[in-house]
Amino acid sequence: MSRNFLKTVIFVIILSLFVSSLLAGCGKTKKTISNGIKYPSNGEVYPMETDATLSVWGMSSNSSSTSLESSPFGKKWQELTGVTVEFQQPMAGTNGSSEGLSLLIASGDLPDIIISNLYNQPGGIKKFADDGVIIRLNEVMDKYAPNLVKYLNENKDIDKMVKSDDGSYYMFPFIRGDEILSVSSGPVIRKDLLDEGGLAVPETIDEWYVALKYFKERGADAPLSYDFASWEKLGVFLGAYGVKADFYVVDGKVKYGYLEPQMKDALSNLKKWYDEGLLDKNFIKIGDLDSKILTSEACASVLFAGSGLGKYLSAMREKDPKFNLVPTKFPVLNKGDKPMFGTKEFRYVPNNNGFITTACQNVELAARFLDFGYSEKGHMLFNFGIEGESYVMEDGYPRYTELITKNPEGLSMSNVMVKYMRASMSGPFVQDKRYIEQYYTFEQQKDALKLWSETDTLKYNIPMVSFDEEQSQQLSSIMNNVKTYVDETVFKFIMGIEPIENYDKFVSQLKALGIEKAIEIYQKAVENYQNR
Amino acid sequence: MQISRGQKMFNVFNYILMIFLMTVTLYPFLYVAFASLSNSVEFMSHQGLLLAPVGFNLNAYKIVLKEEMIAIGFRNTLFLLVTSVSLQVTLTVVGAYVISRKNAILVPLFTKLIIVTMFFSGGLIPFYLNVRSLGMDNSFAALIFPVAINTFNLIIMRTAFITIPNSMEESAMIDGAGPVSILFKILLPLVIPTVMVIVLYYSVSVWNSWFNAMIFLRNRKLFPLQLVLRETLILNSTNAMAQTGRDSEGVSETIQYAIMMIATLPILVVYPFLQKYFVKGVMIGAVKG
Amino acid sequence: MRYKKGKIISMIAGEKSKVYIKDLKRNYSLYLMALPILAFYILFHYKPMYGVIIAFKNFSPAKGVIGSEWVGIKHFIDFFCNPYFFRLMKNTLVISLSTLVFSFPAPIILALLINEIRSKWFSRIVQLIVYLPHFISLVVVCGLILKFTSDKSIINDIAVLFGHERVSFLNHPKYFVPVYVISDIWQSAGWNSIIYLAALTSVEQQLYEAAIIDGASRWRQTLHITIPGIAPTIITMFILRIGNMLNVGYEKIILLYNPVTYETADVISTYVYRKGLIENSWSFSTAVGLFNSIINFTLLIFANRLSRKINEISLW
Repeated sequence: MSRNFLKTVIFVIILSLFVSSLLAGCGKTKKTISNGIKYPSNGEVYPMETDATLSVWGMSSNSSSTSLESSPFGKKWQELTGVTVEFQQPMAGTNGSSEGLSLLIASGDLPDIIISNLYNQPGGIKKFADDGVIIRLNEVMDKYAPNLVKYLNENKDIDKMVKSDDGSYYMFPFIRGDEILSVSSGPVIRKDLLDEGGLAVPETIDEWYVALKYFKERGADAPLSYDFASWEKLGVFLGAYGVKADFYVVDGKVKYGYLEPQMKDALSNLKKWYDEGLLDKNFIKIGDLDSKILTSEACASVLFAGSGLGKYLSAMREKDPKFNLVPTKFPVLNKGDKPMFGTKEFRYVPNNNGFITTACQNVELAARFLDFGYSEKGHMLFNFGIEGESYVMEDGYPRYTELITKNPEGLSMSNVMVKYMRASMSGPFVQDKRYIEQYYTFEQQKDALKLWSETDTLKYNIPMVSFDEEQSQQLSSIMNNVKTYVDETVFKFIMGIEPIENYDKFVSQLKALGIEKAIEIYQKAVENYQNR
Repeated sequence: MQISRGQKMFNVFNYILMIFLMTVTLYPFLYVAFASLSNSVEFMSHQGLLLAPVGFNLNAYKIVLKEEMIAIGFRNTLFLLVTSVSLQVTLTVVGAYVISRKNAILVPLFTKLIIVTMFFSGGLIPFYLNVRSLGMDNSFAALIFPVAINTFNLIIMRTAFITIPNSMEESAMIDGAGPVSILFKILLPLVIPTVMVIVLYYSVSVWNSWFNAMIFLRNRKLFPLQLVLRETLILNSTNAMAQTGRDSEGVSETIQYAIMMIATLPILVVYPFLQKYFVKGVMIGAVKG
Repeated sequence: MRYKKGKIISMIAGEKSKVYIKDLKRNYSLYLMALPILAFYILFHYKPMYGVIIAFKNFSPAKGVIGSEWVGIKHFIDFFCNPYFFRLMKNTLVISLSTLVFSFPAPIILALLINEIRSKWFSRIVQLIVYLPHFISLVVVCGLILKFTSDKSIINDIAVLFGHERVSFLNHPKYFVPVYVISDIWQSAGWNSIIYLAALTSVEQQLYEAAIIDGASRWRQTLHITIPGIAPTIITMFILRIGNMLNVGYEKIILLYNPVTYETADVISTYVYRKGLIENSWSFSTAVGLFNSIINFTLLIFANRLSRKINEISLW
């Protein structure tokens, strides 16, 4: 047995070596130097005619089944621009992109274009430029990216966010074309139950208290069930008191929520709710939110419009048609006030931005390729897909076809959209609000966008600042310890384990951990930003 | 042969204990299975233990199995299973044999050098650059060669060789046999159970592996199954959504459970085939004189 | 003449080299067999080892390992001087030792018990089932743990019957380690027993037969034949386990902990993981890893030496 076994094994090994070396050839980068780009004779830019190819790394999607090169979107993108693209798509998801990016750079084998989020990397975008990974785009844009330049000129507020402190441009940004696209999450409450009790949808903290008490009496075990740590960074219920669990700017001065006196009141309020059983006992780590909401154990929460609100509404549509989860405005202290904070984001989003690397031999081609997303044709492709297949024009309005909305194979809207367009993801283009108008099918979702937008948070949020490498390292060192301490201590105040009178000790400990230095760093960055 | 009263009681107790253990260890698996066969809406509102699928349907499986990447992933993993495990077992058995020899001066040195590698490594980036420099990037070679030997398994195998008394080996050596034939003709049959253990360990490890594929593969057609599954699960978890600020419908939980079943069931069938080597009563372990 | 030549050579080259040459001649085919294995370790383990110096630099992928600037022991100081260092070390050691004391013997005991099962088919079924939890992905396992430890769970129902209050176990620091260890036993005992079951089959049947003739009970047989028979396996596994003392992985803890339980659950690896979420801390995590490795390796050498003295079983 042994001799033959050995022979078989050796044979298999040799065979596999052979096969794998064959397959190794599949991934090689083909780099051809362009012998010029020929533009169409009618004065248009696209489709271009060229022998050159571009290698594009990144552009993560939310579905692993879509490899860009075989998806209708990827094929159309190449067809309309006239460029043959080698898509390099490592595993998507947070692990894949960050490690993958570092490894890519360390390998020294850069592609022509990187489509990824470089803003959130330590040292920010500038570091990649200083390290010689990406090129400065100012001259390139002026010559070869007229569509993007036009958009930035017409939208000076976006322009300020996109360029760096010293006026340099580095990316082809992802931009939300309308304010309404900038918000996707917020507080929700069971209106059907409120109606039964004769209560209106709450707007102030006091009204919320009454509503939650009503739910509790009705038998709900955890009337308000939401994840404190993630949502209060944005200031949902804390925001009513004018603070949130993060850094923000008031009149040009950077503040850290936990150092402010109003935070004590905000936490006392939550403590009151906790003591009276109105807040989920497991608010530190909510489990089973799905079943809690569907069985009315929880009657209010903070959710995403699609994956939260939409999911529950469609789940209960048949089971209990009366079930009505509606969005509410962010709570305030006094009726009529405008909420100071909220979940609205800036219209410039750093995800899946396009960058041209220093390894690119044909910058003109790369810039034209990336600029396509901002052109008329590109805008339609990225937002609505392929005319005749994924959308049709109805009186000038791009209407998604049933392929998308009622997919015959039973795929969900977001899964099929990813094959044809990028509207539900991000990329180098301007997102069109007509996408969201059709993506959110429930009235409640459409209302949500309006209600959740009504905040001043963009005035108070920290703007799109950048730090240099040293500041970035210092900041993260301090914040890692601060965050651990904060997370551990704040819940103790709410649960009463630590008396709220000791709040001042908490503040001094924060200062001992270096929070004031962190505020200083932010302050400088904000000032640099204002001077752009 | 007399079995004492105490022994009878012990046997009864043992059987009861085993039944308890089986229930407790089987249950979570059943939970995943039931969840994957449940109606997604009903499952969402269900609380507590699952004793059967709620609203039996196969939708979750239908949706998952339609994805073309799953079939590609399966195919790739099967290929890797055959090639990678053959290489790993061969090298491990040969290597363990060498470092179990007692009268070769260099052997303790080899052993120390090998064990040191369990503790000190250059980290991810040099590992990555090294594999690239060997020309294995973006190919199966990157998934096969860097993991060709697992030192832990090597040591397990070595322990098995050491347990064999010298007598067998010595008589063979007197007959003029060299190390190769000693290993394959005499010793190997005696350590089959342990060899089967490492076949199992390597198979499971290859089946479950995704990390090297994640960092080395850019060609999606080469993705192994676990990478495909992991990508789907991660991208649709609420964590990912919260971090990227992106909202989507999310994958219903039942689909995630179906994915987990698909990720796990196939490898479970390997064990029964190897099991006969671990069940008491197999006489291979008998050594004469 | 010949005699003198030999003496001169051995005088010049030293007695030792004579031994080496003799050894080479005798074992050359053995060493030849070792070549592919050594090649593997050199190529894939030693060649990239230079990367350890990242621990003493401020590594940036763009600058590469050589180009990144030196910072000496800055990362080690950051690690030792951070306000949570003692807590992280303490928690890591507590979890590791608890796992060692409770989770290490469990598969051995299980293997011995399975070995006692008379019915072959029942034995096979038991084996087949108890290894299942190992295959369930960690995410699902932790989801189930959360379900079972919540204050509404069956376990709490039983506790109430005995007069205790309802407790959400994972929201109390003092329960974290027990939950961690018990779930670890549950998930890994079956799988880990496989190696011991395999070792059991190689214990000579004849020894048992002789013992039975001498009138030894099953218990005495176990004590004097079975356990010594699998002792090399047990001790080897134990030594390796000691060599992993500081390696408490972050994945499971991250899925189970929350700020309430940081005080017993936050370990070295979870702290480093959180730091890595905020920045690309290649150098910092390499430094911490190096620190862990040095301690682990020292413990391993110590354990191995002890084992050699007591049992003559050693890794090298």
